[in-house]
Amino acid sequence: MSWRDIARKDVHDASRSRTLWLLLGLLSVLFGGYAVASASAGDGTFAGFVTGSVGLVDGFLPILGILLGYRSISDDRTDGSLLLSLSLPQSRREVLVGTAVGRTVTLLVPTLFGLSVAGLYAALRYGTTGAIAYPWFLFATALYGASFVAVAVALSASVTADRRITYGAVGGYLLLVGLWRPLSSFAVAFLHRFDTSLGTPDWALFLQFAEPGEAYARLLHAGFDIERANRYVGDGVPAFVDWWAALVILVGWITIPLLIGSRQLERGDL
Amino acid sequence: MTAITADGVSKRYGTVTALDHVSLSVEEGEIFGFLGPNGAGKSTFINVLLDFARPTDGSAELFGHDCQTEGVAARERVGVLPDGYSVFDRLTGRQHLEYAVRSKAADDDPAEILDRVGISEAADRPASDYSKGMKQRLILGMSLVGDPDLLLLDEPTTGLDPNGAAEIRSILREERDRGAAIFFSSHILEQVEAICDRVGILQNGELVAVDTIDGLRQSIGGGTKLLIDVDELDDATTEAVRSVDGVETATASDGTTLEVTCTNDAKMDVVVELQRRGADVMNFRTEEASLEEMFAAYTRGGRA
Repeated sequence: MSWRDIARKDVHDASRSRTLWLLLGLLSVLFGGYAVASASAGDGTFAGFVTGSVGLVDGFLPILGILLGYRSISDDRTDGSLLLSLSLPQSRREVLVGTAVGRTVTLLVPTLFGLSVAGLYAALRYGTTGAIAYPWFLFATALYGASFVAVAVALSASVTADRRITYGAVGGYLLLVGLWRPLSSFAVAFLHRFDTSLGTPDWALFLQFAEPGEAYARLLHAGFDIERANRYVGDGVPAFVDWWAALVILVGWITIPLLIGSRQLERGDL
Repeated sequence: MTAITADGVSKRYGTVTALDHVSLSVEEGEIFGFLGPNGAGKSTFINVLLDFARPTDGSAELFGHDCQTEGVAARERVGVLPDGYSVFDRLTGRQHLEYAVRSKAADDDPAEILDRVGISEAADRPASDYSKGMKQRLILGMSLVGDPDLLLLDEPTTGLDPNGAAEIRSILREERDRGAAIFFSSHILEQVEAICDRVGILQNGELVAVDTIDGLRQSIGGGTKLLIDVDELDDATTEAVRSVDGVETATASDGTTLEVTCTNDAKMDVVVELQRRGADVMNFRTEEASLEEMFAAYTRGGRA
């Protein structure tokens, strides 16, 4: 299992850089600080704390995931350390997967650590009503974070030109975090010739649902009352926007980019 | 078993031909020197073996595994020092070796290998702080992990002082005595001459000669170089000697001495040609051709 060796090497590498420790500090302060402030900012319940934390995760995790991943393979390729990894008996695909796993660990260890400490504090202070589902929140967050790392690492494996990587990272972030919903709404409106009386067809609902943030919210809804996911629950919504479909979507956001990235990396000369 | 088999390997970049139908084989336990000027295609060939570059034509195998379709299996028994590598900046020397040990599922002690390549004092410093020579030793150390059956080394002594280069050569001899095949490229002839069983000479992507050092000597001038003192020497005469059949090189040195490398049979023709042009031969000596001259003979011949 060579990807493990590569992931381990990648984490060793990160643990000797300031990035990981900076992240650990930043995320601990962020989540811990929110747990404390939630008493006055939120409604003073555990559920309120979780809702607020989801907002924080949603704001920070995508950008951090992309920043950690978008230069991973391309930098190694440019400076030549990728050649050392590929001189060993391991394939390009293993290098890609190992790097993605390594970067995901680098992102998730501080994130989950910060959230765990904050969750513990919140449970003690605001009561344990709803705290039973907290591990589900951590699990969904891990998947959500991993999906952005996977997209970024795949990008770094596919593109070699410096400027294109930057454009790709910025473009990917904007698309996945901000533009997905307006674009899908526009697509529907355009196909319906701007006749709003036709409503939202099922496929459009699914298209919106396929955005990582929406899938994340839907997944969380299985444990918490997350407002953003309300469109996907209740009577008359199709089964393909159930929580398990959200799980499939997030796993898809991890595996499909990596598959494409690995094909790109395997193609051609280094 | 054959360590390296290359069968008509060609590599073209657009209109540039980097490798032109290179075929060769390296047997187990053999030290093979891959010689050629910078830009001749040595690294490209090694990169094909490592699947960093895909050949446009032909195929290559390491221990019977195709380098392109079964790359991982091909590299299983191979230690590599590639061209144009960079160390992992933040990892220490020891961590580099630990990475190689894990990846090859070997049981080597990193400290032992670091000691063997002479950088044990720097084991726990980040490799980015190493000098070029230390980095070279570190990667050579990584290549030794797991007692590979083939060492594939691209310019292994770059960045090393003469003492360092000698140390590396003695490590290579130890590895050969253990039974490993060694394939290394170099543009420095003495290094190749010192330890190689066979050499291949690459020129503009073409393999122009593969032989033992002695064999190469035999094939040009029977291992001899002529030093002819004449009473008078002009460019036209030198040019005329150069065009004699069998002459590889002819150069004028200090005015009246002509240095000629040629096949054994051509010796007499050279003297006859000089006589014909009215140059009196005052003195006539022979010397063993150095590898450098053989190399020059081959690479110049390749360009003509």
